[in-house]
Formats: sequence, structure tokens, C-alpha cells
Amino acid sequence: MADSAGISSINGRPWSEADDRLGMWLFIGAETVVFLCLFATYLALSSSTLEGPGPSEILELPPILLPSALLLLSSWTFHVAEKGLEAGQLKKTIIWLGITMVLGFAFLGFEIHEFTLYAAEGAVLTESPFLAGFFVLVGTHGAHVLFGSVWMAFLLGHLASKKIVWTNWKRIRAFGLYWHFVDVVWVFIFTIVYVLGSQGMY
Amino acid sequence: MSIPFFNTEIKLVSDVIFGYISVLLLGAGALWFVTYKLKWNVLWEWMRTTDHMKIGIMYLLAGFAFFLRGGLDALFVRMQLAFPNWDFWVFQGEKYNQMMTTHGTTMIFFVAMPLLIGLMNVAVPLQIGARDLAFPFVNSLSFWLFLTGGALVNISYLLGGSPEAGWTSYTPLAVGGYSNNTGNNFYALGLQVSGIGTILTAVNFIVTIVKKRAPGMTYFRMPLFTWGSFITVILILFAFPALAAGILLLMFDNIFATGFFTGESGAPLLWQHFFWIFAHPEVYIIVLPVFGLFSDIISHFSKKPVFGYYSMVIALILIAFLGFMVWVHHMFTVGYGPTVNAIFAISTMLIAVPTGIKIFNWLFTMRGGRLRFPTAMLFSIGFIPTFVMGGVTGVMVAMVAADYQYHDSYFVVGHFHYVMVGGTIMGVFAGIYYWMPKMFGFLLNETLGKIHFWTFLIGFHLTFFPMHFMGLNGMPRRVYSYLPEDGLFGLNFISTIGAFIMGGSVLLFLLNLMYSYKTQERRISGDPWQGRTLEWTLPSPAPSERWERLPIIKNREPLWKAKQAGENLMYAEKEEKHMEEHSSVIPVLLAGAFFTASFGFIFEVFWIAVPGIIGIFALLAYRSVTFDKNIEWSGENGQEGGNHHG
Repeated sequence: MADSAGISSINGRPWSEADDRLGMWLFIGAETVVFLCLFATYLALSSSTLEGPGPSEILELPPILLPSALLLLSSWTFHVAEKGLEAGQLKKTIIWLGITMVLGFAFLGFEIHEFTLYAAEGAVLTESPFLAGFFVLVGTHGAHVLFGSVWMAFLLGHLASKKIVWTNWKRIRAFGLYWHFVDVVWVFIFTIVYVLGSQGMY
Repeated sequence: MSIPFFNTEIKLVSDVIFGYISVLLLGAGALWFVTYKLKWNVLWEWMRTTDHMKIGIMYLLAGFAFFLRGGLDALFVRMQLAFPNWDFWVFQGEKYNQMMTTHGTTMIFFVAMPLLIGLMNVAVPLQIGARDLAFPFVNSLSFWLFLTGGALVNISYLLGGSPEAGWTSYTPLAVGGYSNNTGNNFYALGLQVSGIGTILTAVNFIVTIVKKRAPGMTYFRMPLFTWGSFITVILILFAFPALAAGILLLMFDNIFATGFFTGESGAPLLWQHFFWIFAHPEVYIIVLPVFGLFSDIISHFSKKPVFGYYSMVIALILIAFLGFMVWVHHMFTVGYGPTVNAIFAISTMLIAVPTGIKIFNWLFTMRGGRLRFPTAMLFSIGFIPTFVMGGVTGVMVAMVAADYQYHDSYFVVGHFHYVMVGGTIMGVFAGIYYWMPKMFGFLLNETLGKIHFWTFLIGFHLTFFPMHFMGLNGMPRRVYSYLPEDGLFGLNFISTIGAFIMGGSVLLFLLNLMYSYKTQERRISGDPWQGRTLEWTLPSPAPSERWERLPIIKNREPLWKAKQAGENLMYAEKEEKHMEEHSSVIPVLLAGAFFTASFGFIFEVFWIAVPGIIGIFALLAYRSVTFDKNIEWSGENGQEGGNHHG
């Protein structure tokens, strides 16, 4: 375990965060199945638009580019934070984790704005199965971003109050997997829902 | 008379009044028992425990309580079907649908699952030499979430009606307007909450088996029960999320009026896909641990190592692998056409191959062995022909053309009871007789045990064998009556008699528990049955500090080899450094918050649901900030003891 060698010298205790990492990997496996089912639902119902708008009528690519970039960037800023923790630089970690959290909340702001715009056009959950599939898929991802962002607020609190201890290290290592996963799901949503959808590919 | 209750009403008819009276009596009895026999502090300690043995015992107790409820439902169903044109009590029409739905849902999710997870909790850490599961807190949370889900489904009867769309909850039937809405919400929320617990259990067991094995306990030295459990939790991890997603969408349809599964514009078949992508692996989830258990028991009481260990493991893996690609065989009559049906028929029949390997390996394990027949072994031997019959009817329903005849008939009911009762329930009984000393330090009475086995076996075949012929004679599933001229009376009547024999047999098992508790010798030796595997090296009952120093494993049957060589088992030189977590009341409180939130969603009362959800996240936050105070380090500092996994 090369990556824990540096840390064990910080807190003076031999330990491994591998249990938590494996647990998080497995949890991500389960989450992947949930998202696969939601993608399948969205695609299967994408033509059931009833009186409401279809994918190419409502989805637009340009407004989603900035939030997508912010969320992808947050994976990199988190990586910087993680490296900082590994090097024992608490301040660096807190700053970059803070930036990651702000990016997460910013993404959520864009998403809420997008959803309210749709709602103003009358495109709500109950309008058609297509819209229900869209809102549940994208909304479930949004809920994951929200959960992760609030989680980061707690991680920042832990880091600030307890300096670097092994519990914080393993927390952040496990959280990292979660955050990157949420990002990867967005890549698929961006491609399948927004890029293909706005071009009327299904 | 009916009482308005949020968005529904409670009709006070005789069966509901009976339900309330029995809840009051049982509640009063439990209160009396806790106050005068058990003491509140004992209950308080068990509620907060994170110990795998105690949690396993609680799983078994709760699962058994639900077993009695599900069994009572089954007896009501059999009473209603005993005679043609018969009206038993209130169980016709809607009430019959509620009874049969509750029976199925309870037996799968709140009986088979917890009983097996209970046995896994009791035995897996002992079999691999782990101090506890990898995440003891999460283990406790899983248990309380399961209990919350089970409680939700079980109280539905008293609060405006149970779910009534069958345990498969097919849409659009399960969507509001077609059947009782609150009942379907109870189904959705109850399964969702317990399902979250089950997924967490899967994560927990996989990490435990991968990371927490004793030094030298390689994968291919693990006992087969641990192997069966390992494969099962992997199946749970990938199967249950499909149900979670399906239920999430069903909930949206029922509570927020979306149109995912409704007939006009949605896709009702989508539910069937989600459900069976989950529910076919579920069939293997509830049978693979007992496959492993039977391997251990048969090898143990044949005084031989298990025949074809590697092929047993490979067969388990193959069953799990194939189990994910057969789900459409539940949907042959949907009309996907011959190509799709043929593919799924072939993959289904392929499963007979690894299962057959296991059957022959069990037989060859016994061949030339020095056989003993305690009750655990009787259940294992009784299981083999029973399960073969269930397997043969399984291949019969896998043939598409024939399945058009069998589909939704009593033939299918006969088939799946042969595999589930004949596999899972007999396995659980075998496991309880086998590991009783590890849990409580005494053996169950063997005479009563043998009577229990024989009455159960006879009652079982008497109940379910005639069902095949009822189905072939045209009796459909899920109907509450039939006509005299249908020619089904004799078979149904025999089946009802069999059901009562099984019921009596289960009561006999309860009697055996109480009788053995009073009369059997306590604290018998750690190895009452001349065992072979690691769990029998521990004293009975297994002490709370199980391994001071971890055992060093050098072969597949460490205890047996040590006994043969006349040596003691080797232990690590010192206690390796490990983390221990104190007990915590947060899992119970979290389960309470889940219950509150679910209750609010079921009756669509959002001033109850929202505080419940806030409670869930507040408790998670509280857990996060108090985590560091709740842990403690044990063992000596140093890498030697604890570094064996590399």
C-alpha cells in the first residue's frame, strides 16, 4: 500500500483505508445498476411524449456546457485536494476541497435554474412519461451531487477541527470514489440525454 | 364501521379486529416478558449491539416471527381453497388477494432473506476467522432497516389494507386506481427500506470475506457455506438495485402521479423487466447459501471431505453468472417471439448443469463415508430428492411451448414451493440444528428434531405435490375459489391437510426450542459433532471475544487435520492491531426515521414524511461527527499479525 505509507507517518499508526475503499467500490457497483435502470427507463419512454415536448424540442446543448464543465473540473480540484492531504498539507486540502464543494453547489444551481425554466414552459413530471423519465434520471443524479456537496461540507468541518487524522484520510479516500462516480454518471447523462437528445437522435 | 385514516379508511371487520386484538395481546406479552423475564437493560444492550453473533440471532428471531405470520396467511389461503365454492371467514376476493400477496412478499423478503442473512452473520466470521464483519455499525443498521421494512408490510393489514397485486406487484395493476393505493405504497416503501439494508449487508459481507480472513485462509480454503454466502452477496449487490430503481418509479407513479407504468402511455412491461432482473437472481440468492450449508453438513456427517470442492465452487459461480441472464423466462407468454424465448429457454436449461454437478457431488460425498444421521443431516438428505423434483419441474417450465400451458397455473406454484421450501426453509432448519451450540451453547433435542423433520417432510410433499396436478388440470394461480365440477376438490383438500401437518411441524420445532432450552446440557464442548471446519474450534456458545489471537490456517479442514495429527491449531504470535467500534443506538434511531418517512409517503402526508427524511440526514450527520469517539484500538502495534493480506 504505497499511498498509505506517507500518511501512516503523519498519524504514527499503521492502518489501512482499503476496507472503506472496497466498500465504496461495491456501493458504486450497486449504484451503477440503479442508474442503468433509470437510463433504460428514460430511453424506453423517450417517445411517449403525449401532448408535451419531445427530447429535441426541449433539450438544448449550449446552456448545459458550463455546468458540465464545472462538474468535470470538480473532479480535478478534488484530486488536487487529495494530493494535498497525502503530502500532509492541510491548508491546501481545505482550500481545494472548498473549491470542489463550491463547484458542486454551482452545478446544482444551474440544474435548479434549468428545471424551473422547463416547469415554466409547462414541462413538468406528470406531463408525459418522457418528461418523468428525464426528471427522475437527471434529478437522481442531482440528488447525488447534493448529497456529495453536503458531505464535503462535513469533510471540511472534520479537517478544520481535527487536523489530519487517519479517519479523515479514509473518509476523503472513500468520498473521492463517490465524487468521481457522480462525475462519470454525468458524462453519460450529458452524452445520452443532452447531446443525442437535443439532436433528435431518438 | 370504518374509521377515516389520513387518505384511506380502516374498515373494522372481524378479521381486522382479530388482527388488532392479537397485536395488543402480543404487545402486552412482549412487554411482560421484557419487564419480568429479560430486563430492559438486556433489551437495550441488544438493540445497540454491533456484534455479528447477536445480530445474526436477532435476524433469525425476527425472520422466524415473520415465518409464523406468513405461515398463518398460508393456512388461511389453504382453508379458503379446501372445498369448492367455499367461503372461509372473510378471505374471498380482495381479502384473498391481500392474504396471498402478504404471504408471498413476507416469505421471500422477510423470511427467506433474514433467516439466511442471520445464518451468514452467525457462521461466516467464525468460518473464516474474522473478528467481526468489516462494518459492524452498518451490519446493525441493515438489521434494523430490514425489521422496519418487514414491520411496514405487516402493519398494512391494520391500516387500511395490505398490498393486493401479488408479490410480483405487476403494473398497471399495482398502480393507483386499479388496486388499493395505500397497500401498494406499503409494498413499495417496505421493500425499499429493507432493500437498502440488504444492499448494505451485501457490501459488508463482500468486504469481510475479501479483507478479513484469518492468516492462511485463502479463497480455496474457505468452507463451502462461506463460498455460497460470498456468491449470494455478490448477486444481492447487483440484483437488489434493479428492484430499488423499479420501486422508485412505482412510487413516483403512485404518489406523484407520473405515468411510467400505466397502460395508456407508459410501459407496463418495463416493471416486469426490472422486477425479474432482480427477482430471478433473488431465487439463487435464497438458495446458494443453503447449497453451501448442505455441502458442509453432508461432508461433516459423512466423515469425509466434500467431494469435488473446486467443481462445487465453480458450479456456484456458474449458477450466479447464468442467473442474471434468464429473467425473461418469467415472461414467455408476454409475446416477445420465438427467438427471444428460445435464447432465454436455453440459458435457463443451462443452469441445470451446474446444479446437477452439485447434486452428484453431494451424493459422492456421502458415498463410502461413515454416515451419521442427526437432524441437520436428515434435513440435508431430505433436501436432495425434494430439490431434484423442483429442478425437474423447473426444466419443464423452461420449455417455452409447454410453458404456455403451465404459465400462471398451480403447476408453477408447486414448482417454486419445491425449490424454496425444499431448499431454503429446510436448509435454514438444518442450519439452526447444526449451529445451535455455537449460538446458545446447547444442542436441540434429537428425538423431537427427528419428529419435526419427518412431519415437515411428509406435510411438505402432501401440500405441494398435488399442486402440480391441480395446475395440469387447469387451476390458475391467485384465484380464491373453484367449482365442484372442476374436479379439483380432492387435490385441494389433500393439500390443505398437508399444510396443517406442516404448521403442526413448525409448532413442534418451537416446542423443541423451549424444551431443549429447559432440559439440554448447557455449555457443551466446542466440538459436539466432531467437526472439520474452523467454527468448531471455538467454545460453545462462541464467546464475545472470539479470537484473542487469530488462527493460522494451513489447509481446507484445519480442525480435522489438527485432530488427525494430534496437534493443536496454530495461532498468530500476537494480537494484531485492529479497530473496534462501540455499540450504538443510531441504527435503531435511523430505522425509526426511515419508518416515519415511509409512513408519511404511504399515506401521502408530507408533514410526516419531511421530518422523517430530515431525521435520517440529521442522524447520518450525527454519526459522522461522533465517529471518532466511538472507536477504540485493540491489539499490539506492529505489522506482523495484521499484514497477512498484503
